[in-house]
Amino acid sequence: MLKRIRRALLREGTRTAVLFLLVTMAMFVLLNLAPGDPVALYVNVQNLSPPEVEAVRHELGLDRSLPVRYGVWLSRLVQGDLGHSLRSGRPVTLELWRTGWRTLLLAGSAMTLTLLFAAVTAYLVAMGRHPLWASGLTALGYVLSGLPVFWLGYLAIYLATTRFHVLPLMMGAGAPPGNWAFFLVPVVVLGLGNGTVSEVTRHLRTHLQGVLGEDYIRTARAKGASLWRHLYKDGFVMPLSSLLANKIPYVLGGAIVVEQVFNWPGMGRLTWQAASDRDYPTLLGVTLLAALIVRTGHIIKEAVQVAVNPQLAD
Amino acid sequence: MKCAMVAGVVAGLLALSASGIAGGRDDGFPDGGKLVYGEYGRPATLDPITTNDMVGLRLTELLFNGLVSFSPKNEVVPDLAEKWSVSPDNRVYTFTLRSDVKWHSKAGVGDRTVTADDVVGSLEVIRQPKTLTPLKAAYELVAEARKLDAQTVEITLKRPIVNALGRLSFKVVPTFALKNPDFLSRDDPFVQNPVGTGPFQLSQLTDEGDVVMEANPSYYKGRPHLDRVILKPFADKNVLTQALLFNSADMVVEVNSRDIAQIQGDKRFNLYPYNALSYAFFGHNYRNPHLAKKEVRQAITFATNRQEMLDSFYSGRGALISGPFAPGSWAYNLDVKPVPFNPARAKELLAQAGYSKTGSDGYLQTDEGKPLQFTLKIPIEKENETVKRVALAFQNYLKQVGIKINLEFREWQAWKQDVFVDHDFDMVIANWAFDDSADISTLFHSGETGAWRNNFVGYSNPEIDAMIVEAKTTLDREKQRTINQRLHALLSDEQPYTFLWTLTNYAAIHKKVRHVELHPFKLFTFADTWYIAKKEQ
Amino acid sequence: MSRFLELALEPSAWQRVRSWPLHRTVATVFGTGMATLVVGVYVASVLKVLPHDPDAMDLGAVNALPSAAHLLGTDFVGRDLLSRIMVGTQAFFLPGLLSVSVSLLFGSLLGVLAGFWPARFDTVVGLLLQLLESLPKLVLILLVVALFRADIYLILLVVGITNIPAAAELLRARIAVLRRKSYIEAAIALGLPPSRVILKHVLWLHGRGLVLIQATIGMGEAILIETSLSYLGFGVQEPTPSWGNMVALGKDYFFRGELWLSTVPAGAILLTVLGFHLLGDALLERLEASGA
Repeated sequence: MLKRIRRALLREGTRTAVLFLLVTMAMFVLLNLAPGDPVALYVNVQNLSPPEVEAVRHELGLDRSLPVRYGVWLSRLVQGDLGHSLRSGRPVTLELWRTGWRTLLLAGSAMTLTLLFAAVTAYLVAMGRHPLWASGLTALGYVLSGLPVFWLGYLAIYLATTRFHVLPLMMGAGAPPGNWAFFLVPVVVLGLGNGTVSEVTRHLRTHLQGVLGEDYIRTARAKGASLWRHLYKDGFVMPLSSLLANKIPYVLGGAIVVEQVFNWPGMGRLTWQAASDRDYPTLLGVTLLAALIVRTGHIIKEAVQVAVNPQLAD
Repeated sequence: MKCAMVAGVVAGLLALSASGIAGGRDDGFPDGGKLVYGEYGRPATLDPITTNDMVGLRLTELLFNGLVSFSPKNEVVPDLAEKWSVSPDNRVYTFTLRSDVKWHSKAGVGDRTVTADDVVGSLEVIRQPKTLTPLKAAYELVAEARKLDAQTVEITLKRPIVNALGRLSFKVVPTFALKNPDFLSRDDPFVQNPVGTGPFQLSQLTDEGDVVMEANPSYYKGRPHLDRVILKPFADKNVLTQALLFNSADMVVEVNSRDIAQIQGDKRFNLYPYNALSYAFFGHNYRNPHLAKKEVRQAITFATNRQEMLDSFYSGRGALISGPFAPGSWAYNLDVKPVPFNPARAKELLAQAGYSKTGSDGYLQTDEGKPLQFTLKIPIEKENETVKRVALAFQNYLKQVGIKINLEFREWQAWKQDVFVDHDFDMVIANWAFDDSADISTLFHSGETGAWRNNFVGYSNPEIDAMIVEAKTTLDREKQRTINQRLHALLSDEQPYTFLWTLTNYAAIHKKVRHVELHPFKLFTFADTWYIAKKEQ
Repeated sequence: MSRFLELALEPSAWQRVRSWPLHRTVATVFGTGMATLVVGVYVASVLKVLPHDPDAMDLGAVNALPSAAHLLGTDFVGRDLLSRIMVGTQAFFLPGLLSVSVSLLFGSLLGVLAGFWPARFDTVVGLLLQLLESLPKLVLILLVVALFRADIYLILLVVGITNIPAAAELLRARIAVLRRKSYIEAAIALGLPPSRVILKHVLWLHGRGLVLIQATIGMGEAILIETSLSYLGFGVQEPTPSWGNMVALGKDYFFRGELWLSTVPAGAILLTVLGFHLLGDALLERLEASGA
């Protein structure tokens, strides 16, 4: 048993390491293929002579070849050093920490909301209860999935300002207490407006309907036993865990836009700025973190699914 | 007994304020209140040496001082230096520093005053090769900086220049507080946690990216009235305006032109116009054989109704320009009028240049039988709605005279590469911003056409070259003005650019903030005198 | 076995449609209607059958509300919105199909490989798929646009490539279910060649539902991601109209109460995406009900 766990851990660990290597390499190569020079972050290139520009480039270590630069980055990485942002000079680990938890908070809450909404809707439809609510929620899900997320964000701000005369932004320094409620607005926009609600609902509903048709469920119903106990594993936990893992990249992508609209100081904004500036330490750090999140999602999914259905363990 | 104690305390307080050590201002205005100002974008760094963006530049105005500063009319006034003298050959400047300027009180800095070491050190840090700063080029003209005694600094220039004092306005930093006293790199914590001498000191950089600054009680001009100034960065210009309108910000540094009317009508705010010395233009690449012909360039300008664009897209808030200088500049030749809108004349000129056949698509044809077309390259930006309008209108105007304009949007860095390095463009739309020197040498001198040089249009004219060099080197201000005015007239005829306009920028500030004066592009130079009435705090 | 009985008692097509639940009827009607409308508008725009020239500017009538002259109003330089909405279909129709085709083609290939021969391909394919998934889409698009140019085909090609994992995973999961039910083993035991099993049974019978769903979702996503990119500045560029860049342009007038400019294209997006989704869902339900 222990040996199996150890083997599994080793296998997963190697896979993860290889994945991270490939992902960061791909991002690094693409970043350097694209025209653009982070030197412009520091100096006004037009005001310097070419030798001076080269001096700046040398100072930043940008004149070394690609494999060398990547190698240096990698060697520092294994020592736990992700380098310094070319833009702000701060350690990348600090930047990721500061912004990462905010994005995780936003994305995590948004995802929870999506799954909650989908679960409730799917349940009502599959069970045939409260048909009006079921139809209403389904329709709402479809409509929200068809609208652009930044437009929804703008709409939310417009409604908040014209109706409630308040701007739903997290204020930060000097904010009045209780403005935590404003946090809900971008969560709702990202959670329900990111274009995946209807798809997730349909997945769940189909799955539930399939499970409900299974013999063991019908037996339970005939017996008058509590449906939930039998239903939740196959009907909810299984699809939810795989949906969760699959939708993570979408939510992170949607966060890039939502964070700009709602002035949410998260990883999305950091990523976009770093890509525009060609701030490669920050961008590689972000890519690594994103890969980590996606991978973690997958591992959790697999663990959950094996726990629920031990047959799946190969 | 009690009366005596109170009297004693009052007397003590009066004595303290009279000595001016922890001075409040005695202009009768109250202290207190906070100002939250919103900017589009965040400063990368907060110190005056490494900062390379406008947001950072404005921020450092609040935190730092230089040897000299500027009055609202942009004249040079004393700042950290209380007086100075110039040698007869105009190369050696000797500054006497004030003795009462203290560094912001932060752990490790103590109660130190600014000395000549700090001034010399700051200049040395700027000039050190390991310091990556946009200031390097500007201070290349300094040959040497020396400390004569604790309060006296001597700066020697490589050659005399006009308005040297204005050029020596670098901010002084405490080199003893740097990780390495010889140079400043971005991984030095100082760049995110700076210490200066200015009216406000950095209190906190919040996780949200807000920069919180508090009044410096020992500011040498007296404690500023405002208790706190907070910079709040935004990633969306529309949301920034909303923040102003819904009390999340008290001030916006540059209001969108389309929102100006709305804010003007809003009684809560005052609009402050300021004219940065900048202008917009279409640049024509001389390497394109068609654009190398003067008639073609002139025709393009005649065909473009710039006044209509200015009125339509900017509500007329600005002025058309006729030449390569900003209209507020002393070098601008007011006698040269902007080229009028005259499509008929444009067609004439094009016919003169040899383009008289029109193809079936409605466009003029070149000798090879292809339509006369140019690609206008525009950088992709998130908030460039008015640039798009201008480009589309331009496309329309030129269509009327038979020239086809293809719009090509390129990612920002790729655009810079195309324009400055590969010179792979026909036309661009861009802006230049100037300092007071009205130095256009880098824009039109034939020696500046290489990679990353500002003469990316490839303009080359020996007569203009000579005039540019003369204007730059002469010390006679009047002569400079005459030469520049001639340059203006000649370039207006040549049209290496289709000169567009200079826009009036507006800052919106809540009425509660009073006694506001703004510097044209540094903005916060006089923020220490702003105050908020007690009942509005 | 029961299939033969069902065939004998097969009701007519009309009877079958009549037996559909209401929501499926509504969905199918709406979906088909929208799809037809979109295709019709697309063809019309390609043939240049438009009420106005979509590039004709009228600086005197900017941001106008609907009128007799301009049925849907005008945009910020006075161009007719209806014409631009019509031409806007070109920005997602073919590019979207490209994106969807790429993701389904390669996704199916990889999904089949991973599903049928998990021992050999699962690790490699799994890694490749997770690699594609982990790269941030929007950043990739920014870099590709910087490297080449802002071309919607290029952008949606990148989107298609990054969607390969989703398609592959669905197919792989379905194959895993079939294996659990020993469906595949049985087919092979019956003597069917593996290629026929793959093509006919897995891909056609079981996979077509998934393909359909992914196709409709993919088209919807093509439109929505172009809108997010336009917000960031990177979508289809002027003067070519796309629904995304029209919504993004309108954002600058939104808070002043001039909602029209941004809402019209957003409405078009909503109806189209809704149509695609509903059509896909309805067809999927139909396929599943018939035992797919």
